[in-house]
Amino acid sequence: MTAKAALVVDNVTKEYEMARSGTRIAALEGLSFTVREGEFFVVLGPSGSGKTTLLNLIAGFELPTKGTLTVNGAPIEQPGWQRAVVFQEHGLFPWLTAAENIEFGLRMKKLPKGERRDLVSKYIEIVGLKGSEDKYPKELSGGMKQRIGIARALVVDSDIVIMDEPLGSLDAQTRTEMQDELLRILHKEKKKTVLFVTHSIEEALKLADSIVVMSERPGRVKELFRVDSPRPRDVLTDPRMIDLNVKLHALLYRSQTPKAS
Amino acid sequence: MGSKLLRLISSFSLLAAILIGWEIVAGTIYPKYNATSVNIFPPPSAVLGIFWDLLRSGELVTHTLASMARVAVGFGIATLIAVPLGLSMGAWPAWGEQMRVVIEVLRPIPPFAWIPFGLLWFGVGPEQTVFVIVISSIFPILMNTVAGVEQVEPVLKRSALSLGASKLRLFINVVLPRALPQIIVGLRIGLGFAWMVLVASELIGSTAGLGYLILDSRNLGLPSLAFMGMFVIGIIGYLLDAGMRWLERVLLPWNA
Amino acid sequence: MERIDLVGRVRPFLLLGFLIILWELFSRFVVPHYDPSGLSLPPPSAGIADAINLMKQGYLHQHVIASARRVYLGFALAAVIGIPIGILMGMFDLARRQLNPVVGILRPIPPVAWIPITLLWFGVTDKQQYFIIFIGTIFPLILHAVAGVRTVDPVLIRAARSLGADSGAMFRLLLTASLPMIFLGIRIALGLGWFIIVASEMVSASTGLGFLITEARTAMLTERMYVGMFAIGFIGYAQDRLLVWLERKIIPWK
Repeated sequence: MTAKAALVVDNVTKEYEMARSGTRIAALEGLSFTVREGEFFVVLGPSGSGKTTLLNLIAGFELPTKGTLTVNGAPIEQPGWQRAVVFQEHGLFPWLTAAENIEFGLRMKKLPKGERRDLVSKYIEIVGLKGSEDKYPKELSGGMKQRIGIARALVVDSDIVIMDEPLGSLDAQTRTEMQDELLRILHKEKKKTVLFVTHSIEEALKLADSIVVMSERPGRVKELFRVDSPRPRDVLTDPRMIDLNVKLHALLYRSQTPKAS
Repeated sequence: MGSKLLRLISSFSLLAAILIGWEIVAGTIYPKYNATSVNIFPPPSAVLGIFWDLLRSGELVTHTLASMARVAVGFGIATLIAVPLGLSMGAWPAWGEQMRVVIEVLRPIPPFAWIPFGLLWFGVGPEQTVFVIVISSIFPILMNTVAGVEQVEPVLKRSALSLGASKLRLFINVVLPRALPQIIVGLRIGLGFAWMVLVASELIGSTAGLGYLILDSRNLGLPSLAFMGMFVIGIIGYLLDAGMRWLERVLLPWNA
Repeated sequence: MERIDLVGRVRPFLLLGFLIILWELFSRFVVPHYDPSGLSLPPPSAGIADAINLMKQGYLHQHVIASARRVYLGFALAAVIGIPIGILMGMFDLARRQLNPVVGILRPIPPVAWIPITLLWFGVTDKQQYFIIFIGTIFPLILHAVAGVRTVDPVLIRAARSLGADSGAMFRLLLTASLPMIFLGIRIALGLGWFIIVASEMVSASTGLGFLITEARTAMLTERMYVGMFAIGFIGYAQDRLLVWLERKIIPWK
């Protein structure tokens, strides 16, 4: 439990000004949590809980109104490969082949060609896409595209990988397969720090070392759970998982006080 | 609010600079060196001047109305032919397949290429212009009508049939409304074609209309007239297109 | 088996064939009753005969080359100027805000409406023709380049930035991503170029396919008008097929 802190979000508030009325609304308010090095950290929240805003801040697309975000002690000021992102819409460059997409970040890092080639073929292997490296994204299935998206973010060897509902647009069966795939891939990547955003409780239970539950707007930390059970986990029958499942459900859904009927 | 207005005004600064520069160069500097010859690059003030003159004499209105009437008749005839024809092609695939080949042969022919045939068959005058307008605006309307009918999703047809629609009702209440946005796109393109072809047709074989007016500027040695006519043609073309867009919004509030 | 295949292949052309035969018969047997010279509507066979004749003499291709030179030179000029302007407008707010009103005023003017003033400027010269093609093709090029840059999927921009792309890499990315739209603009502009050249050459030229058609009319050679008309149609069609093929080669990822 004494692992180093990889990402520290300290008392972060993000406000937006409404274009029309000029009033300010807070998407995040006084948000604090710490992601430890090498852990799989899940941010779980309903829509409108500021997950996207949080992601934009961590990726460096936006700056907070108040508070600080630091990665390995350095404040986040702009986007960069140190915090590579896997997008829900995969965001693969359609004009680049699978291999070239994976290579993109390495080219931005200005790595020499030979090194790039070795890394790319290594990661093609890891995500199980051998034989498809010269295909364009349009020729690949949704699951395969997301494998490339994951490989593209892992290959740059960032301090932390941010995953924005990466499995959100896949069909149910592919999604389950990809959850197992993700565990397998990350197992090969020793001690990769991952911040994973989702609204699926099942996904959080299966994957997370830590789960932070966010409240509805303005987004705050509602509760933080540490999950120590070894993986793969049996979400349906393991009593500890069932217990956590119930708690998470209560936090996520019961709080939205339904109107008394 | 104030800053928005300022922003809007400031976005016209390049245009204003061009106009002012044009006025100075063409109105003041150029004549100094070419005092005797006709100013072939008249300043905006001269263009506005001749606009005002022709507006007062009523000449501009006469030519504009002549052109508008030709477009209205030609475009009207084209619509009356193309929309039913397109719908029939969509409704009966075997007929559509046959017609499509005929259309594919005729469609790549530039609309302007029909002008000499108009002259041959109808002589110089409004009939020639109307003919060319009909021929050239028919194709976009036709193609878009067919595309509109073809894009009706089978699930819409099946759900209507399962709700008890007859074949006729299916056509009137499902196929037609679903195809309408595409048909209107075709009408918009067709009207644009009609206006473009009108100008060419009047340039080549006519004794009235805006196309004739700008060609006449050459005989009269009045470049400012040519410029003025160009802008009037441009503005009317723009208004026609804006009118079609407005019609689209009014007719198809569900398609926004 | 083979017979059925043949029927399937011929079937779509039944109506077209029927109409052509009808036209042939109509021109041969009905038209002469009203117009003894037959000049108002010669049969298609006369057009084909004249086309063969013109090709043998090399007369047709000489006009084709004249028109093509005007279309492609005028277009090239428009592309060299228009596409960079469009990209600039797509990338920079300032350029877009300032140039939008200028484009907005010039664009609705039909290219042929420029003919009288350009005749005053350039006289009956090739320069005048280049200008008409230039002004007629530049707007689709500009507008498609703007749209291409403006409609790049935002997630691609975010992905590139999160992978550490610098401004040079971002510029290349925007350019590559807008390539399909720019190419569409090129296709539309070239199609339009062949449309416009006809009108332009009809008014003022002594070569080119537009001239060939007008000349045929004054010489009372109606069948030659067919030749000119279908020659342009065919070139426009062939050019478009070629561009579609080229697009698949250049942009295989689309």
